[in-house]
Amino acid sequence: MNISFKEKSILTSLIITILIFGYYFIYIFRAMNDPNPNESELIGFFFRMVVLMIIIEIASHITLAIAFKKEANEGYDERDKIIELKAIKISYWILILGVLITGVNIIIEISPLISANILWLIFIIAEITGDTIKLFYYKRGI
Amino acid sequence: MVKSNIRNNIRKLRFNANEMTQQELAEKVGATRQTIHHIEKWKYSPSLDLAFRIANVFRVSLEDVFQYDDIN
Repeated sequence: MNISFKEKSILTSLIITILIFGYYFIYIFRAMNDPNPNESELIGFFFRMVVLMIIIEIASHITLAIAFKKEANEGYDERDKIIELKAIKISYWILILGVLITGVNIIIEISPLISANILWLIFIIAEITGDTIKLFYYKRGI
Repeated sequence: MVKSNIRNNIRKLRFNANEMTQQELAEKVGATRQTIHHIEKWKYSPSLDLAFRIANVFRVSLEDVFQYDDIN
């Protein structure tokens, strides 16, 4: 299957996000079942996962750029921008939903830790959806 | 796969221009090779700006490169 550098790059980010934050949310979900979760430990775990994701993202994109040097130097053109905008549009609506859910959580006084994780989950879903939409349009055409 | 209603002769024009590659055309018009590939396969309708730049490369009119097909 012939896929462009941009598709490889998006696919890499998508896989990294799913693996790292899949693990993160499984861990958090288990911790939330504890009646007295250690909040500082969970916050520390969150930052460790974010730092881990940044390091893996940078390393994998450097590796991709070295492996596909010629394609990596290709810039973005109008088609890339249209695909980017279509993905952002859908992600935006998912994030709006996240903000609304967070607003409701504040009103019904859910724990800030749960509320923050719900918001983070929606942010990750928006990110995954955006990347999936980009891959879809790159493959199918617009 | 979505097919555009805008047909084009870019493949033929490239062949007639000393078998210009997609990459060469892409560089001349300031687009990526993938975009030229998608235009040729009727999977992407370029902006008017890009369409004119493509026609200018081959020194032909816009209608000689692109045609609208409303059958679909």
